[in-house]
Amino acid sequence: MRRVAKPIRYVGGEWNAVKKDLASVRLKFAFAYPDTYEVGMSHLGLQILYHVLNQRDDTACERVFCPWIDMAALIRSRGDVLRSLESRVPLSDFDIVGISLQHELNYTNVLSLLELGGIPLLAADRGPDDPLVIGGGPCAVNPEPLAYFFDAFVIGDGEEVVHEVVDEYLAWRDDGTLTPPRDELLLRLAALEGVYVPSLYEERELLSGADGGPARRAAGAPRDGAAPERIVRRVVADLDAAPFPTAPIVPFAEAVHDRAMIEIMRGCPRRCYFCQARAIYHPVRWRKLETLKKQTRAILANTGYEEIAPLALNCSDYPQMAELLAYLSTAAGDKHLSVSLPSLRPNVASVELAELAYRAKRTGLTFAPEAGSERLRRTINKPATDEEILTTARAAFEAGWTRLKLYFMIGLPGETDEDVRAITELTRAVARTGNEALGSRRGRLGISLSVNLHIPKPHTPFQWSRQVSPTEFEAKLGILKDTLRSRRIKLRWTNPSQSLLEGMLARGGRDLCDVLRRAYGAGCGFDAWGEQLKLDAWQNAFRECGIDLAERATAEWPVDAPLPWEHIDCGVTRETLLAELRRAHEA
Amino acid sequence: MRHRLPPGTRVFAQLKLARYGIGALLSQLEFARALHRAVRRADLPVVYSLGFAPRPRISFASPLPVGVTSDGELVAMQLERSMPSLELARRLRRQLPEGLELVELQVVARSKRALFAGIDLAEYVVDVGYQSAQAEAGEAVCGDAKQSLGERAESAVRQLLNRAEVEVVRRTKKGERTVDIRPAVDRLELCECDSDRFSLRMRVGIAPDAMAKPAEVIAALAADLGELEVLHIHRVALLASRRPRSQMRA
Repeated sequence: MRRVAKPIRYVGGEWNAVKKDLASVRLKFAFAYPDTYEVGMSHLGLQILYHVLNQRDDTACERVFCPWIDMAALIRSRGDVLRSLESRVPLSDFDIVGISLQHELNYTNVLSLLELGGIPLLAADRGPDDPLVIGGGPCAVNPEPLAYFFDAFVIGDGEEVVHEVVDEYLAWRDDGTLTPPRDELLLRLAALEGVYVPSLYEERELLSGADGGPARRAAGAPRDGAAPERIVRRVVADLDAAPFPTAPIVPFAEAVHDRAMIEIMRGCPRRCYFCQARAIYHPVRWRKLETLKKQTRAILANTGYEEIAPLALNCSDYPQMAELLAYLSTAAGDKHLSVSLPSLRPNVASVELAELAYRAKRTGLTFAPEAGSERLRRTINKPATDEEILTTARAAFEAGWTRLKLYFMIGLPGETDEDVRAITELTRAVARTGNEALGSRRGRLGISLSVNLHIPKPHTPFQWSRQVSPTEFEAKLGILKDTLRSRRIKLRWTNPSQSLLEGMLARGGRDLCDVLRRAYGAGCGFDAWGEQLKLDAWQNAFRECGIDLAERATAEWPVDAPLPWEHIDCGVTRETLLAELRRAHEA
Repeated sequence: MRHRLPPGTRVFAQLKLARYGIGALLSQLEFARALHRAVRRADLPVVYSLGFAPRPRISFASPLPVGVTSDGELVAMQLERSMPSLELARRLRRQLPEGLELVELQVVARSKRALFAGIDLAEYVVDVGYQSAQAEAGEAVCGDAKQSLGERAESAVRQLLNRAEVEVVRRTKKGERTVDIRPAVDRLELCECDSDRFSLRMRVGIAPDAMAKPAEVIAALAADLGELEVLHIHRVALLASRRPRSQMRA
């Protein structure tokens, strides 16, 4: 253990971790997260499902994370396998392995989890003794690039359907047959709402060569009518009554988000055209203030956390946000609790909320105008005016903040160089506002500008749009670098190669399964960790499959082209998305 | 209670903790955080610092390196008011995570500067592996390796203690430099010996001006004995080389 970095990642034993006697339960469920411990433990979904499953007397849920490169090498060199944190059981000994799909750049780590865990990579190669491998999470809304590796996917909210999956599994295994056939289990699962079993569908070719690349492969009609034609996303209707972990695991290692979490809302009332969250989480649901107060008290008593974060796609949209923050502040009165507000809308009301949350601390506030010009903000349907943004900034400076963080995207549909220059102008205007408002404290003014490459995502109106290439991104970024020369303004940007790959995987078809396998075989892993990305190896893997990565990823799709994720029904129709795309073009 | 204390004096809970298993794998920061959260769960009346990001006033005598187990970690936390030691200990014990154990807790009143005053030594038991290749090539063939290794280790220890200077290479963030650890080695003795491993009990300095790490002492012995592998380090206690001034009960 002393031979690997941060051994604490691999030992479990944290406060509130649940260790059951595995001989005393009927079903062993592994929650596997395809990234490091620190990232996975920050994920609320893990804590929710861990809690939900361990509340069942017949089930034990244990955790598995992707071991870092040094630990993976140690496991291999010892001829060992990847084991769960709680009972140190090999991943392959579990009945069900649930893998959380939060990010496209985790896909190679999914293969790493399976291989190190001693589970055949391809679902087709798994036998009666292998676990059932299920995927879930936001990326499952286009499961096709991973279709060959999973026995099933769960689309949408997991709290309820996970019980149904466990119940079906137990019913299948205990139906009296000595070795019940795996196909029988898959048929049972496919009958559940929100469950997608890729092997039960014919395959079809899409977009044959029109974009210069070979055909994409995707799910076609269900075989023998054994599965539904459309898989409808699961939605927990009553969020207030939905189970929530009030005794979450408290990691020893510092998680990326090392604090208590309360989920105040799920879904978003807005319809920003670039944003996939709307399709993944709608409709808007929220918890009652009283429920949240009760949960807060229990969580703080059970964890000892010194910081709490109300979670929502946007906290400004919670109807009783001011009351909630007032409560968190008084609960904090003698407990030295600090509140963190990760997401706010750029408006004055949000600044007032932030004042409530950060009583003394005025370190930094973050807002996301997304685009530089009013025209482009109308195009993406996030239509804040320059004046609104500047008024918000002024309010923040006057309330005592000296550092603002602004998020923008480059590569939005219909964007011109003029729109990129508008980012500079807006940022400068914010800086001028800061200088005026801060007066004698202007020396402390700091603006951090974060620029991301826009990635068209499935189930959004921009799903047909082209993604700009890394070269185009660099050129547009160059405009910002040339025009933003101030030591008060710090410019940061994402690695465009990562965005290229993320976009490719996000809109990929089944033909990418083979690419993924080759890339993994060539040593790719932890692609989301900038320094680990091996773009050359990825490009090779694509080339071997007859795909030009750059060309395919940056192609514009005809709006009448069939899409690899059409069988996944998130609740937003193609007609709606098309109408919104048209509106975007007209804006 | 507080008004009766001499000026500059505050109430502290002084703790001795054991760290085993998971507790030994924690970095200093992780240990501090785990303890802080346990204190919050136990609802102990700890004093917090003022300012934007209030921190609990919990201090540590000496950080424990990752992988080292211990029976004697000394921690002090400032309290808002005096409380019975037993009550505090009972509440904290229930909230400590696996791998951290409360050995002792007493409530004292003293000046902040006197908290860990005089704590300048650490006692360790170090298990050392003797390279099997050498054992096989040498005495092991004759069948009395056990005795030979014992004798050789004994003599290496004696020699080290007899030297006026013991130079080892110390790796720091700034690079490597040679240091003399002899002044910081207070005691060193062989306590157990097997055919391929032995244990040493040592008392070494932890103060910045006279400090020696257990691995450095082993490295110095390896100069005589050939390659040695540190198998396990256990901190027995943190000590003062001089008798501390008498404590005041709060």
